[in-house]
Amino acid sequence: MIRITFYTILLLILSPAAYSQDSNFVAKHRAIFFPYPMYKEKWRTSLGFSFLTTPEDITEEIRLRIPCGEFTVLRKISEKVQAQGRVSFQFLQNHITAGVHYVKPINKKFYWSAGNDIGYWFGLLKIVEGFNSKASGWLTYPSVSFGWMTRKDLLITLKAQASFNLYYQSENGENKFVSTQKYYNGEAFTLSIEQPFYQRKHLLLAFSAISNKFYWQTWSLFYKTNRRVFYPQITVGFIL
Amino acid sequence: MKNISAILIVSLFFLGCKKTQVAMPDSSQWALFRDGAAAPLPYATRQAMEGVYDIAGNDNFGSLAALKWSYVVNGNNDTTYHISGFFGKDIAYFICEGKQLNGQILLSGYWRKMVSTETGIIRFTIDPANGATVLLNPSPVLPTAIILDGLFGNGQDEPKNSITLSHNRPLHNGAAPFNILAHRGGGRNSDLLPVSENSVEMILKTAELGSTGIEIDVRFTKDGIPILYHDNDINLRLTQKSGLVGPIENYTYAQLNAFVRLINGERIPTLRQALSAALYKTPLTFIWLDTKYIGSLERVQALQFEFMELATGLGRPLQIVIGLPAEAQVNMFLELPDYNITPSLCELSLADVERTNSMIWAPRFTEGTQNENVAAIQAQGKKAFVWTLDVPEFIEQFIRDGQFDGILSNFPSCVAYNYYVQQ
Amino acid sequence: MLVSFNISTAQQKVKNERLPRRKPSFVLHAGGGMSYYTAGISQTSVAIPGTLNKWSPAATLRLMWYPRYRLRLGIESGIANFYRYNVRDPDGEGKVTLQAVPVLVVWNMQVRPRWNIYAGFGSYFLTSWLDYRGKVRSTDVVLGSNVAVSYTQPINRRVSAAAEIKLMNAFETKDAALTLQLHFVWKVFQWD
Repeated sequence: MIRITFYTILLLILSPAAYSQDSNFVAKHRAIFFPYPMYKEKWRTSLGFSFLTTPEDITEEIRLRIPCGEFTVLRKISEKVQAQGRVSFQFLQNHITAGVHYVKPINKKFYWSAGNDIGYWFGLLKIVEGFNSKASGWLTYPSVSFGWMTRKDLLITLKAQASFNLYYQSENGENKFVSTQKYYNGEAFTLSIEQPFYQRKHLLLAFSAISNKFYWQTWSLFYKTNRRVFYPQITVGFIL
Repeated sequence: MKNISAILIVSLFFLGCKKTQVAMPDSSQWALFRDGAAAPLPYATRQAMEGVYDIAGNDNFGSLAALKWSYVVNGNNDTTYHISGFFGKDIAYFICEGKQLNGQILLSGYWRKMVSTETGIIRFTIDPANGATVLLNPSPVLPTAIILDGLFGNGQDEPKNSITLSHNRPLHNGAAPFNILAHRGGGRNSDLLPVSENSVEMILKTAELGSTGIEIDVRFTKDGIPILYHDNDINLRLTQKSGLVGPIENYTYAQLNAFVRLINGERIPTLRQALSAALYKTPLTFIWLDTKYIGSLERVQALQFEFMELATGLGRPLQIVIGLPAEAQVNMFLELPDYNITPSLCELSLADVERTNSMIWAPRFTEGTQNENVAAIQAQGKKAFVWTLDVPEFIEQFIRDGQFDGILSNFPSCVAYNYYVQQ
Repeated sequence: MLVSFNISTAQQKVKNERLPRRKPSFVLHAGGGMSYYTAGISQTSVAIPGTLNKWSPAATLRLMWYPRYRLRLGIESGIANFYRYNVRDPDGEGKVTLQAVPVLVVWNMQVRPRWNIYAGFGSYFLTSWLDYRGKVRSTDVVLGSNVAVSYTQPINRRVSAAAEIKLMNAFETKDAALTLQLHFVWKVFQWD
């Protein structure tokens, strides 16, 4: 957190006067991860999937979980303030986040943003004989992003995101356990590339290094511990 | 900048997960404990020390501890006794050896928290005035005030944090014996114990962790030797790097024995070696042979009968059951000669328990305590175990509100704590 | 409705833009060289220590799609031995070879004229060849990745030669090898 706060302050100090808006950006750089103000457009959306490789300690022989669908929506609140919603779905376990992000240009090439999302996850295992489990929880995700427009068709973003667990609930049959313990869960660093790819379709490619005590996709597999677990993740998205 | 971004991409792409390890502290440096005049504790003293203790002076481990002794036979006339303390916080425990010196009782060992990698040295002293005199009497007269003055440290640090345990009451002892069963011989590799899952070394250690029984995974080698191994393949979760990959059934026992070592350096044990270790070297009273393969169960059944007869001959209580986790194994079991008198444990429905004449029904914990079904199975003179229960809050609920005769867990110390501290 | 209206508006603007002049094409890379096993393998972790050989010939076959834009996509395969070792004990001699065949989705980007970086993700098909008191060939498929840097020297409009340094990383089994290869690069097909 200290590191994230330091970078946020540093970027605020370095920010020069607002960079003049680029009316062609909508056409050239419709991006989801890249922190760019919404001047004329009101919405940006992407649909894709992510692959999480899980450590053998957790999932034992199964190292690649089923892909997770990812749908993201950005909605303009003002030029530099955006609402962001994301649904990550695997049907038996799903995660929804919503939050607000402040976006600011530093100069023609560099941009940054900061914001916070609230996340809710839920999982259900009742379709297989022998299972009567469900679980859910709330988290909060403060984040900062730093964007670099290398040239007109390539946007690179580095995003640092922390997560705090707020609430956890698990049920097995008639047995229920609720934890309202709030704790620092870990952090994720994501490097994303966004550019036009096929004809005029824009592609998003992101590599994430996630280090968490608890990760919602593994709720059914292991008990939360105080040990950090490392999850590399690749996200592929098509910007609509 | 382009190059920097390329390096960043590559670095992220190749970020690996460094394996977390627990560096077990060396607790053998306490000069007092190493004194040549320090003598072993007699049986009566050990028995009298067991009980539920109040914790004072430190909140690192919770408010109560359940202290219980176990043993492991090292060889002829060489047995090591350990006193284990099971705590209610963070699935913590300590394991110590005990000695007496100049009228004092000394305990020396280490502590560990299973929810993290925290561990360290722990030492206790019972002064003559704090109960040692009574405990060291050939026939200790209880109740008496027993106070363990302790110090513990982090890692290899000299212990400096004080902790005091005061005897409160005897360990809970229910009307029927309760089975505290350890998964994979004592715990998974991911729990970072100093020995590997499904190894002889783990079986020798598991009673220290509170287990009264074990579940072990049985597979066959290419030449038909039953061995202990959980996964389908040779992999780095279970073994050290050897250059061998693919199904373990592809290799003969000689090849595995020559080329493969478990993650902490042990050899893959045969089922015979595992049963022999449990029978002759530990106080374990229950062994659950989880069937991880599809094929004839005859060799497993033969070993099961052989070792149960050996146990009977020794007057040693030891129950060995064949686990039936799925329909395929049930069908294999029903093809066995004398299947109806072969002790087995069925994980499927109550109807399947009846079909296989299993003596134990073992449902997953994910369906809850199921008190009605448990009562129904117990009314038939059978037992009910639940698996694999690892969440401390659920372990507490299942012991408090459930009727099961045993719990299978990767954290037997947590089950032991919750069972023994019951009032 | 509101979302779809706005999306269509944005897409209309995109369609009005002129596409880059670069023509899309398919490019085939084929070549070979040597690999050196760089991951740790302790002699003590092998049950019976013996001689260990970390060098091996290596080959690569890669088909890339070059779109109009910077980031390119392709598939890659190849072959290399990660390592071989020999053992001797009272029961006889033995040898083990661990062979790797990657099948990866590969992204590629030109970072400077003639300089390219590649990053791939997918599977490694591993084969163990064991010869000790009987022969065993056993296979497994594990997750892995690779990363490479190459320098390309054009020979004519369709054909180039490239020198490439690449790290093969079967991270699931913690096996990795560094390879140095020479590639023949052929623009198989170009359109538009």
